[in-house]
Amino acid sequence: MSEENKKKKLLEVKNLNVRYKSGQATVYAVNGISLELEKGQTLGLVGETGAGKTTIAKSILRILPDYAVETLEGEIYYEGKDILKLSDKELQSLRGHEISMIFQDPMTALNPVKTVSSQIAEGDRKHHGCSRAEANQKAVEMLEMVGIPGERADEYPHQFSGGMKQRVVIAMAMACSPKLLIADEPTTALDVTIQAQVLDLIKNVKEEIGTAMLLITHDLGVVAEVCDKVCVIYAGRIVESGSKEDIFDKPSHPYTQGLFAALPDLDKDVDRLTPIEGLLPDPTVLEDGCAFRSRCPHACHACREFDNELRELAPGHYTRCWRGLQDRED
Amino acid sequence: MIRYVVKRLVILIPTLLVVAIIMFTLMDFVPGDPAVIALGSGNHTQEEIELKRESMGLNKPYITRLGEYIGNLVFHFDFGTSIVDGTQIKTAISDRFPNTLKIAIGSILVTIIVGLPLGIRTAVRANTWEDKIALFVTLLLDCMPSFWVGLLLVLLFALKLGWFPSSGVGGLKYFVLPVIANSLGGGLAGFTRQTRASMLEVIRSDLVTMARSKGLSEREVIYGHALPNALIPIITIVGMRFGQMLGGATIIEVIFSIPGLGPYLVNGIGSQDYTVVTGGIIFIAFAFAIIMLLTDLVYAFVDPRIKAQYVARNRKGGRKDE
Repeated sequence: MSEENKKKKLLEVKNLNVRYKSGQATVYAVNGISLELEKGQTLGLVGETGAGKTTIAKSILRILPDYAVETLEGEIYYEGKDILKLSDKELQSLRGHEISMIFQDPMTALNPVKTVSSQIAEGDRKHHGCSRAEANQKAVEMLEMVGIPGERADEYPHQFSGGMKQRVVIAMAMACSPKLLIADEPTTALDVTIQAQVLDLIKNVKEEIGTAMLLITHDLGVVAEVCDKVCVIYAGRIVESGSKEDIFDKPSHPYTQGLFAALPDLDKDVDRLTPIEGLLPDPTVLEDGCAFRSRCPHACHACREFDNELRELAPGHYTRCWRGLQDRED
Repeated sequence: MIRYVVKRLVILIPTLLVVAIIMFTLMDFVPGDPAVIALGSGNHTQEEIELKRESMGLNKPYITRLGEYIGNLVFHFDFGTSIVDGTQIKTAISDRFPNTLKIAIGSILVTIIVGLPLGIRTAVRANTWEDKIALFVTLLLDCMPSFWVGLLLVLLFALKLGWFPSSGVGGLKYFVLPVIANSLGGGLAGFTRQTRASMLEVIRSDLVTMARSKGLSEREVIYGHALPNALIPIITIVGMRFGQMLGGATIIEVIFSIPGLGPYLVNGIGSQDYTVVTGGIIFIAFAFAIIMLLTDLVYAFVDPRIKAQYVARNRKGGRKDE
């Protein structure tokens, strides 16, 4: 890759491996994930609970819990710097300032004993050296931007509803106009009626600031609405990646196909949905072969010997299934 | 807020009444005749004893005696007189309690000053060698009763090194050993462990991860975000420990011959001085209740959610400040 090309990429994750220790066992949470994100782009990470999406997100900010992590290997380049090699100080100036994160659960992410404005202002004071008054003024503006009246700035999190709290979290993440926003299931903890509002809000704010976004979700509807590129994650691996059109129009991996098949179709009157049978494989065992084969409708003995390499179906569209190319050729 | 305090003080009255009734009744069941004790040692004729019983009002029915005792307590704050030497219990308590309080306050301060930073440190360094050494030492200390620690301290620092006096009261240095003994034996180790547990829970929560993700330094994360949240359970523990230290002080006072409530109560128990024991314990219960009330009030300063509850009871609609 040329120097220039490297510069254009905002974020580049190469062969990321994360293992947790759980008692005596090792949990293989993330296995050789590689992904890229350009400025202003939105990349969706899709997958079921336990697939390793949040672990990927937290690795980028290096906020994984120390006591649980066994290994964190690979390279995570942010504007050419390897985040995994940064010192604590460098990391702190990156966090919240250049890269910030919206947490999954606004109920537990906010500090209950501090006013929301002080929590929003904190980042500004830290990174931009604003005075308390300036930062508070900015916090009020941020709150207004996410649709919370400024006079509520001095209230505490318990005085807000769930949707409002998530708005506060968004305001907090956006306070320093980050270049990269990691949104970890920003709408999962919210009521369906609020989800759309919050999603619109994130989209608008993102466009206003020109932030790139890594959106983690298990909701394909959300992906369709906001993402440019999609990575489908299964058992800590990317099983299919490509542009939104690639994934939605030509899903190739059986897991991706299963995800789409599981969506309820408004046009058809069916009694039962079609789930993907079975469960995620045991994360404490790293088996050879395709991790999805126990649940795959097309599985055969060849899947056991599968080399777990990505195959390029079309420019930019990859799948981790040996059948992928054959299907296309048939 | 003020209304809440007043309300809590009002609730205190029935609590203390119940304590008084239980204590009075219990002491009534204790074997031995107060009249005989009041007469002192030596042989007494049945007639003398009968006369004494009459003069002490012991022949009146239980309910009448209880009523009189409670009446005196509530309206005159009067605990009666010692049946052994006839002195006013009220005066004795007010003379002696300051010493007990000094030791208890000293002990709780030492506990907080040493235990809180140590608890935070071990939580931040959970499962490292520092934490493991601290665990070992605190477990060891937790197993040592305060009177034993007291004796060891006297042996080393008073008898061997001669740095501090071994008994009596006087300047500040007379309180050093008792305070350390009471703190070590009365829960410094436990307090450290509880602080660690409380901090650890917060450190592993989302709000701390969130604070880190904002780019705050580890110091700002621990002291600015984690500690204020961990303080709520810690304050409860401080309140309870303070009560314990008050009780522990009475034992320590006996060892160090400090004229506090301790020797007074212990002597009272030894000489079966019913009124002294009853009065002393009611007074300690009163002090404990006040401490717990203060603890509850401190919450409000730490946690806006609890403050909101206190305030919400006062206001009727509208989002106004207190």
